[in-house]
Amino acid sequence: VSGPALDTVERLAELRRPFVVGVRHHSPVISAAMPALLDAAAPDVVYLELAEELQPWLEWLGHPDLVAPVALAASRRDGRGLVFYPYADFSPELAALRWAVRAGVSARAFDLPVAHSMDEPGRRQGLRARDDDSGLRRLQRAYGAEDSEELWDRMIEAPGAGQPAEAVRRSALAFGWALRAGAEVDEIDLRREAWMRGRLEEGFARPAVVIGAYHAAAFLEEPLTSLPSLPPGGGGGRPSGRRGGQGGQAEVVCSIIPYSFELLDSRSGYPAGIRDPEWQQSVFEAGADPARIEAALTSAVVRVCRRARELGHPAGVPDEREAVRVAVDLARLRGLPAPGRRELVEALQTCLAQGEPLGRGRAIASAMGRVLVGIRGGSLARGTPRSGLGPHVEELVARLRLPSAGAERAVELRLDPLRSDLDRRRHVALERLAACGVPYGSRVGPPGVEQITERWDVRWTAATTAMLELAALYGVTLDQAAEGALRRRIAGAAGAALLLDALASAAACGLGGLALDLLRRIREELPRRATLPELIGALDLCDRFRRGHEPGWRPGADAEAELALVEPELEAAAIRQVEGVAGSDRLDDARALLAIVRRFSSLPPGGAASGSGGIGSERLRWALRRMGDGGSPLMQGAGGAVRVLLGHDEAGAFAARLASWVDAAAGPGAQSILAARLKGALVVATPLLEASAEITGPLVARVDELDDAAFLLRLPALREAFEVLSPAARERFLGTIRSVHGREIDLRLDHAPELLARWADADRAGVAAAAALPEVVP
Amino acid sequence: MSQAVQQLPAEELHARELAFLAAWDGGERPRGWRLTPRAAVTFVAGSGDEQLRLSRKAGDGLPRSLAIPAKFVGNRALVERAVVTLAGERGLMLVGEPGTAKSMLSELLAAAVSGTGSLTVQGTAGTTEEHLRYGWNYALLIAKGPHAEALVPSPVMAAMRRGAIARVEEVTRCLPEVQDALVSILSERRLAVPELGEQGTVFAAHGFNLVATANLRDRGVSEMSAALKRRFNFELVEPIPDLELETELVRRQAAAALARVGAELRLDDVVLAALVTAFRDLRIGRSVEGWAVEKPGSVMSTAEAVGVATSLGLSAAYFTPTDPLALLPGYLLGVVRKDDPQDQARLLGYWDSTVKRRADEGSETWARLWEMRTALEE
Repeated sequence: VSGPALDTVERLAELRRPFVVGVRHHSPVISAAMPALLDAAAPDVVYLELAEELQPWLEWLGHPDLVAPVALAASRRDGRGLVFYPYADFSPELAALRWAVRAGVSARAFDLPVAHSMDEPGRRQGLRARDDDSGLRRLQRAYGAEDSEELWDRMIEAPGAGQPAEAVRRSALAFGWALRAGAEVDEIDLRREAWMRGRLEEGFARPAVVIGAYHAAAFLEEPLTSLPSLPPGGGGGRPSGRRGGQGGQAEVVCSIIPYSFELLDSRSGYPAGIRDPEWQQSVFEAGADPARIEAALTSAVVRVCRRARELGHPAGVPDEREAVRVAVDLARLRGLPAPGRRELVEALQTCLAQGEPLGRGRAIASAMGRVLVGIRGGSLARGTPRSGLGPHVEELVARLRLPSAGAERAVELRLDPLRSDLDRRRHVALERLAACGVPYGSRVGPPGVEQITERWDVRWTAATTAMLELAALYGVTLDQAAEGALRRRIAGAAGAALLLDALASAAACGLGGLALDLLRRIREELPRRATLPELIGALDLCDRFRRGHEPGWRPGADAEAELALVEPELEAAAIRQVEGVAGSDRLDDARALLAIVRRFSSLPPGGAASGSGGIGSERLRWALRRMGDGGSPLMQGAGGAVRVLLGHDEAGAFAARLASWVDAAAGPGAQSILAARLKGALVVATPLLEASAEITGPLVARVDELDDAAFLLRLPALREAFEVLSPAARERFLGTIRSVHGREIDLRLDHAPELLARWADADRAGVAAAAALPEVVP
Repeated sequence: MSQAVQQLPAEELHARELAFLAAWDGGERPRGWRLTPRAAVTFVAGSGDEQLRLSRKAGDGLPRSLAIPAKFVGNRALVERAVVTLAGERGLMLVGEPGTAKSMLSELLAAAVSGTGSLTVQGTAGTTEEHLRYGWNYALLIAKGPHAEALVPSPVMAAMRRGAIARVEEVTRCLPEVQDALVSILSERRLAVPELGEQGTVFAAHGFNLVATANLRDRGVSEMSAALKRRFNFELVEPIPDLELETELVRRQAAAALARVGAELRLDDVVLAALVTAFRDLRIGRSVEGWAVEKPGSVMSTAEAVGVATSLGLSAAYFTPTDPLALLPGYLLGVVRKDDPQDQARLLGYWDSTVKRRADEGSETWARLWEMRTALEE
């Protein structure tokens, strides 16, 4: 920042009507400096960057009995315009509010009312810096920071320790101006800023404003004499905006909920968080004093090492000493007054992780997570009005005419969500409650089978009420809570199956944004990690969405585009996996192979086979040929059949091979191989075997020609193989054999089986005796 | 040393910068160091575009201002941590995939801190304890008995006496029992020579420390003992994160390699970009566009890319000029097909998916490469 920019920052810092404190939503150094700043400025009112509707809640947020972290949320009844503000002790706005309560100065929420806003969720959080800003990128490069959060740490938090309050305020203002200068401020921000400037004209003599550093420069402009015109009904000033409600002010729901550090950590996937809140808390408690920060650092290092020892990894006093030394020396080398979060993290990695990303490295990471993120939870002051999810769901349930509290027995519902809009909304509500973990409705019917009519058992019990309170942690409205719960579920260790489950749930819950995120993640992760059946499951799911079979979610244009990207990737990955299942002896894998083929055979006939089809079809052909020759017996059978289905191989050639397998099963141990080969072929190719005498012919002919002993030897294997078919399929196969034989086979026995067996024995003895006779030349 | 050597040691190659930096930062130095930690970081990671200026009184015969180019391309924070580690009581262990410039970094650090990178033990499976501790001149030993003159110090011992940085390259290629000779040197900072009696112990002078490099993933490496690991701070050196930086580095190094044989690098930017892109895709397992790519088992390091670029340059310099793009698939196959025959199938898979898709999207370079697919099939 230099030249004219410096001038602007100077003017901002000197501004007294209002006195501007530019902040980030969480910032230990500014929070620590806040009382001193406000004492010096002695304002007669403190304006906070909070939607106006939240004004009544400031009383409870600033209550002396409240224990942070807590979160304030507000949204319109229709779920739009959501704002969500988590607060910890190190949030400058909370620090300012607490100062105002202590000093007896009035505090006012002065941001654009939610009723007037058209914000998408998460738009209003903290720094208001988009990562594509070129100025931001330049600064990030200069400071070696990866994102705006890290950049703020490098520019404000780390150098700010132990500095005079006024110097910290100035550096934050400079930071905000650096982001703003040169970039275009978007329309939503301009409207909010105009509104806030308008509010300043309330006639206070010494107003102070606590606001995101990015917005600070807005107060340099002349205040508007009148408020920007806003049409009634919250439609906003945007011509393209849809009108919410039928005129009159849109109704707004607000709530305050206890929050926790686990959710506040920005990596948890919840909005408006910060990395490592427990560390930020300790910096705040140290009053941002360098010596006390060093003490806090030592304590954090010791706790990480203790935790690592509990996890079974040696980390003793020498490690602790070295980690503290490295952190402190790094800070000194970088010219910082005290080590910051980054120095702490770097030192722990360098001194403890021993270059292993897995194993020890993971244990250290888990220890750091526990110690630096923390598990602190907040609580509200007694008497704080309850609000949020509970009433919202009670009302929703009544509106959808679903069973409410007090019902004696479970109600069985039949829903037709694809036909009736009410049923669709019920479906979405029930799925959302299920995603929140609230016991209310349970789906009846066989799993994994898609049905047009859904059956649900629904009942509101005491557990429903209790779990709703818990789920309120994730949000004030049901969609927000469902999204929060799902995000939490996938935030930690995420296997492919878990991601797919979450995607199915997100779509059923009508959470388009989350579903889109998950699709992106699936595109990123599944091709490398999923098994073949999982990939097929994912492809089936994508098909369902594309065809509009999911009542909860119709993919929009961007989701359509994403689906179009995901499917080829998954298909390519599935093809790569084909090589991997070559040694498998699980029927599931053989079925998955069939599923791939179904996808490819839906391409124009000959298209896939001739190599001009989808990406990787050449590879599939190669892999299948290798599988047919060298795979496990099961996959040899399956691979061979698949090749016929794809047109890579002649049906006749495969039929000959099929028959030859029967012949090959002569020795001991060869029986199980025959069984497995036939199983594989049958699982994949039942329709083929039924339809084409060309394929069954040679097989039946070989079996026909076997003598009794050879047939009996192979019989168990043949039986085992045909077990994989359903009874109906076996019946149809029998029909095929009948047609091959061209005559009716009578399967009823005229005589007792024992008698028949004795006749057969006698026959065989006669044949043997005749064979033993010396050859007589006539 | 003259032009007769293939590669000059870092301290000679950059002698002017080292002298300049020593005069530039007059701040406090750890005992035994030639430069301050700040100047050492600047030497390795560069001064950006900034021209550093000398104060008026300092330095005769030095330039008044100098911009220091970055010699190690990558994370500056890593260099800072490495320098801080060397100022402490633990050794520095640089680990990472082969070809990530670990050895170069260790040489630069040693040159910056103690003015020499030559106190080096090259670790192999044949390295013995004598290479790390000391040996004897047997003729003298037999003639005069155990006696200081007959002692042949190892580079490590020499570094202890001088208070310099000793380097152990490829420490994981040494057998574990040999590696463990470093444990007591690092913790007690002394090396006893029992044959010489009480006067025999060598104490490390201020400034002594160890930089070791190791491959954790490569074949033919041994485990390190837990005791040894505890005496090192580990830095994981990652492949270069940025495509442009890597392309630039490959160009520079290939040009230098060609200059050594007196040839000039004549390679189009397009070819170089395609080469580096293919290497990165296969190394990371994800294409530049974000498509999944199946990783081969072979190491696809920047050093290997430099090797291919050099070969392409050499063939352009010595043979009749052909289309270097046409040669690229063959060279790539040579890099990929080292030990796992499946890797050839993976490279084919890369061609069938990523290369084809790029060709379909209208890139002429990649369309040409797609046409050359037959070169991979033999």
